[in-house]
Amino acid sequence: MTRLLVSARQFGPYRSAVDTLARLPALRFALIAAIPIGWIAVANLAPLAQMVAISFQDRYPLPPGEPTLWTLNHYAAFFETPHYLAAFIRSFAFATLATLLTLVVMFPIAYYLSKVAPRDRRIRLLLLVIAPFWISEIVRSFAWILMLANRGAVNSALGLLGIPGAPLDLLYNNVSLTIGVLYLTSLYMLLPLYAALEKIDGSLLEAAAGLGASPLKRLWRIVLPLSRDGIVGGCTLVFLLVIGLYAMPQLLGGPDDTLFAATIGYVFSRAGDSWPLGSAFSMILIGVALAYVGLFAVLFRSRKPARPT
Amino acid sequence: MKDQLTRRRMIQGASVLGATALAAPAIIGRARAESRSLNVWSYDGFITDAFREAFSDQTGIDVNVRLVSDQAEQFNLMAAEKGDFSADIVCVAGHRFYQFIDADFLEPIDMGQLDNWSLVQTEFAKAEWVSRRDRVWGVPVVVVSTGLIYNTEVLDRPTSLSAMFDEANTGTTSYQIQDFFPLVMNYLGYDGTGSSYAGNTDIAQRAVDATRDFLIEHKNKVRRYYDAATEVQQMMLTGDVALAAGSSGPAAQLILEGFPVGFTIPREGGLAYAYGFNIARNAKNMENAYAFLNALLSSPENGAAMVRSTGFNSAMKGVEELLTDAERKVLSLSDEERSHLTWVDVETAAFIFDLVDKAAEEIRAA
Amino acid sequence: MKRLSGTALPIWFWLFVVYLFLPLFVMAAMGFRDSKFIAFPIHDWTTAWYRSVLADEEILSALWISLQAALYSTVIAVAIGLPMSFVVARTRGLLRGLMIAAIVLPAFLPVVVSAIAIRMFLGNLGLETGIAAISFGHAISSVPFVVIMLLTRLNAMSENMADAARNLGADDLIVLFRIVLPFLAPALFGAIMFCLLLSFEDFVRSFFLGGNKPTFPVLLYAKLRFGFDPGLAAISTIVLIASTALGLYAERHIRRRKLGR
Repeated sequence: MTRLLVSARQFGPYRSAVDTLARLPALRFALIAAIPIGWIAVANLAPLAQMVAISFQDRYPLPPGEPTLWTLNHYAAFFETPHYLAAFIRSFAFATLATLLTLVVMFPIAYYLSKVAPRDRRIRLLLLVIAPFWISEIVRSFAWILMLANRGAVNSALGLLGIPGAPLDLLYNNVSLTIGVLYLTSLYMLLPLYAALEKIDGSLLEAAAGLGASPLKRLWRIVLPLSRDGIVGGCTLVFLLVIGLYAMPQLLGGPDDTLFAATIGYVFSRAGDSWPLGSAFSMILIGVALAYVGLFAVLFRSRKPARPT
Repeated sequence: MKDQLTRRRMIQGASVLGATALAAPAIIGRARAESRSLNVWSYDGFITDAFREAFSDQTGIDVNVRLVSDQAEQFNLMAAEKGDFSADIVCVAGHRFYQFIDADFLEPIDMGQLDNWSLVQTEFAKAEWVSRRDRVWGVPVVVVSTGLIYNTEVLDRPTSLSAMFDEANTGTTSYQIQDFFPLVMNYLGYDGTGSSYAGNTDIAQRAVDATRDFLIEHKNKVRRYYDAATEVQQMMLTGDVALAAGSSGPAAQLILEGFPVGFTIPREGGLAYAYGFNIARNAKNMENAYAFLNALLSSPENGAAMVRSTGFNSAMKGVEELLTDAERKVLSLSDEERSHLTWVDVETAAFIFDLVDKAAEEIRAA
Repeated sequence: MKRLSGTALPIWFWLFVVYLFLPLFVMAAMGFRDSKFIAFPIHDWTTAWYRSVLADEEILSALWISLQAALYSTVIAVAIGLPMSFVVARTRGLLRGLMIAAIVLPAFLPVVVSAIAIRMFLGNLGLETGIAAISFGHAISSVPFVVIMLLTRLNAMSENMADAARNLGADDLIVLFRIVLPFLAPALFGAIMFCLLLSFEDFVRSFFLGGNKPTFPVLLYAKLRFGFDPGLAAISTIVLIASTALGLYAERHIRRRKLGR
């Protein structure tokens, strides 16, 4: 690729274009910035705008010949109905806990893969951990049902070992839900942590150890601050994944574990004219979720002074 | 050397496949404009490959089947298509199709173009739920009855819905809330079909609220609520659930495979409805759609094939004779059980289902 | 620390691997069950399910469509996400917060809403459904993952690195390929993986944006409706093995080339 680019410099117009851009950082920045701004407008905001409009309509799809009526009722419904609010709060608490759990479980693994495991085996080990994620979420959920059910693998094994109390109730409760969530989120924590940890200079840790810093102190003073970007990235990804989880909690959770994403799903699955209600709920979810993540981003803001561009 | 050869072959293969891939969107685009094709949305197993091929051979019409997995999916996609429907035929369940009709997604059936309507069992052809506003809106193909599915090793055949609320079954039951709700209304002495409320929202709302509170009170009996039939099958198989409210099809499939499962209609009644094929509003291949429906209704063999792949009963005449003894035994209901079935009343369904839908969400979130 | 990293970390890692693969072994075994349903115990074994899914043209064509959509959407998402993350990395304060919010917006949108919105949007523009539409839809939901992933390293990249190279006379594109991308490699690897995986297992968007030919998850959901048969366990196992083999092959190939230099 580089060779291609170097030889392209032989070509006059290309070279002058590239060099002009190099001389004008502002123009270069504007050109690069045009891509994300255009994409956000076309791919993120334009489709969303329609759903925002629908959320203010009395009913949609409209039977032919009926006029469009505008209303705030669907937003009001959220605040007036206690169980919607309960599911909403449950979702945020659940997503926060799941994110923390994933971080605690995956940090040592990311550390192992990026710093401890033999260098030439790292990618192979990563690919090993990625492999299960090629299987559909729903199939993986069924795999766990087969593991945890009354006549599942775990209870069969316990029965064979003659352990009293078997079969244990492992399915459709917090045990199965936790196991299932971690099963879906782990990779989305691991890869950002890996990317951030990988760049930490090993000699830095050795130097600190040589100066007599205890392992805990090294973790706290060196590893964690330097992997901050990875932690923020991983937590963001896991949080937004869990907030949107739908099928897995439905398949592995119990009757009391309805999350808000599932509530929205049910609103859309009852067909009829439920789009405005579902859209309104989605807008509330997006608004609060962004504010929530933003709050954390501010709380954990890097204390480094901003670099001049 | 050998290694190199295989690699080169792989690359060649990949580039050929790549070329087809690039052409694919264009092909799809063209197919829709041609009149020798038909686009059908259907559940897996409703249209067998054999039928599809035979139909194409006879008529020269290519049938593109788009597999769907529930009603809302179809409704939401049609709504998103805003009248420019990509389907000619859709597959709507009887208890939901008032929503499709009222949203103007369907075309009433022109009886003049349908040759074999007489092959639909009289009981279904004349049933109220096929028609709305005095027009017929679809051709029923399979019939579903809802009742109780139970593990025969754990329970005796339950005769009443009260088994679902028995302390002895704490933590071992399951149901799909919307489907079960009307049955519980009947059980509590209300009218699950909603027809006797005749649009009187206050009385209906009180009945629905009371039923909702009753179900929340008995939530401890429930292992979990399910959505798809597969889930209830799996829960019966893994022993997590011993008693469930559900439909005949999934139960029949388990029984035919030799699992210790039974299906019964309790004395408080069960709900029956049909899945049918319906023609989309302003279907682009209208004539082909009628050709398809006529071919489907032309022979009971088509109905029998559908019964075997879904476990549901057929709405067609003459299908029962084509089934094996084992299949007949599993699929047929006793006269007494049949008498407990009530059909979903399409005219009042909209009104009662709206109330039930909201109650269902409240039960889940409670 | 030495002892901890020497024993406890590998043990923790391999426990995690066991947790990941144990249910999948159960799933793989179910593919050999001689029945129409998956459940314990397995009395009779058969290879018929594995053989039949490998010969099932519908399944293979669906897998092929899913693979294409995964590749196309990954290319789009990375091409958009890369410059996007450069811009975000250069922005500070409130503007940065707003940009990130606008970028991650589609990831917080419930998937049904997102699918319906994109379908209606394409309809308004008069575009056809099919692989192109699916790829576009998947790219929309993948871009946030790419950007967040790249920022884990981009924030730490010192401007000096690029400037030094530029002073030596390299133009921007050369800087990009010789310095920036290699530095980003671990994050880029993660971003590409996320794009591929998210696309490959998406059901809802694929259903709304697809044509008559289903992607693999769409076919899977439709088949699930009438029972989870051992064939679904078998094809999932085959996907697992094939994707792992492909990954390992690619890794070996790349490592060889690096060593060869």
